Amino acid sequence: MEFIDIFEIKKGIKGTFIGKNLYYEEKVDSTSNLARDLAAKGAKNGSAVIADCQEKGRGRNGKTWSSPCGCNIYMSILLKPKFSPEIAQGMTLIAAVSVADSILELTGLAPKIKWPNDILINSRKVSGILTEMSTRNKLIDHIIVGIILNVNAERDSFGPEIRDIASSLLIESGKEEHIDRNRMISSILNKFDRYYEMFLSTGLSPVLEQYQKYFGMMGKEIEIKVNGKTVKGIIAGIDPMGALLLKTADNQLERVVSGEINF
Amino acid sequence: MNLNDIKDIVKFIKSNRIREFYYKKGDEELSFSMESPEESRENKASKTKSQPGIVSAPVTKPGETEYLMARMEGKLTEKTIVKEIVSPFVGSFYRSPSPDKPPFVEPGQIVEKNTPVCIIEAMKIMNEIEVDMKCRIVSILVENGQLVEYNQPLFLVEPL
Repeated sequence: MEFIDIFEIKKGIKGTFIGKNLYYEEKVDSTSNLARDLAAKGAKNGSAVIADCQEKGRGRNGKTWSSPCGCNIYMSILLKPKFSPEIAQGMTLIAAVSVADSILELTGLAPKIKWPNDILINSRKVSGILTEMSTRNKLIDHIIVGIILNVNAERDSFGPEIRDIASSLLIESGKEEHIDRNRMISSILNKFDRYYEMFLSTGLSPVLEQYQKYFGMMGKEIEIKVNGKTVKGIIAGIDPMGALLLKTADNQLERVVSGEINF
Repeated sequence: MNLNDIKDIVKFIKSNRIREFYYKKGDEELSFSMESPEESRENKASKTKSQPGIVSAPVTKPGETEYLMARMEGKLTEKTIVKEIVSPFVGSFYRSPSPDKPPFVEPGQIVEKNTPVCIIEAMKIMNEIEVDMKCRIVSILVENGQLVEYNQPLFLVEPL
């Protein structure tokens, strides 16, 4: 087992502000909960919270995420931006592209993005990203980007109900040698920093350009549950705000911003 | 409901150009239909073409009916100022932090400044909306899970 080493991570940080302040706890209920507490106590914009174990990792709609100790990455990035909440969806795409870039560079595996930001390898989910935002009177108080990446989890750490749909980088690499989580964390933070700077200076287009390279769903026929009803269609693309464009049976183009996709 | 209440309601309906209004609680029943002379002429002309059984829906701005209901149920006084909390973006509206948790707030509840009142979700961003003042929740204008538009009113609140 290799350990999370906060000094190693810090040495690898090259960005201007994402990850400049790091908080590490061996065990937390959720890194996003800790990040929220730290935000209330004045933690700085760009701080990252990292844990070795997470007891209440969560996904969309209150789903839980199996979070064993000593093998994966559980991390939350705290942002206190001045932009409008309308464009905050960009953060979820920046996180996806940062994770996908890092996986490609450090492992050679071929990540694919399932809209909006699940990372799959060989059609199995290795990473989930859930972002929380707090707004008051249409102004952002803070954003917390929660990232879970299954790095060195072994096959038997996944319950039988998810064994066919979830995986880790180690399993998909087919190797025995563990992947360095410290390097992976530094890399994700560095990429996030770079894409975030681009987003602030030129908008979402450079991020979307990279996103398209990993987007593995073009032309796929899907079902998506939106507001309790199921919409069927063929994926026609991603719009400039990152929303999913779906061509329905009656040849209409639907813009989807929320929903659970089934293939 | 007394005559003064009814006068106030009529005044409100006129000033907000609400065209149709209906209220029923127990034995109390109240309905209004306001037409401009032009509309009256148009309606008379169109009535000859309309099909039996098809009734036009009342035209009100979001939140107006809820405001009137709250007013008539005695939750608001003449001097009450009501504010809207609106959605900061397009997304799904959720009343509770997760499906197995109770709603953030209920109508009538008094909440402190910075209390979260709902979540708007889009592209896996869970946006917790907080109130920026101490207030009473007068009414909730959208259903749990409903897709809401940018700037769509979500709550009517009475600042305290």
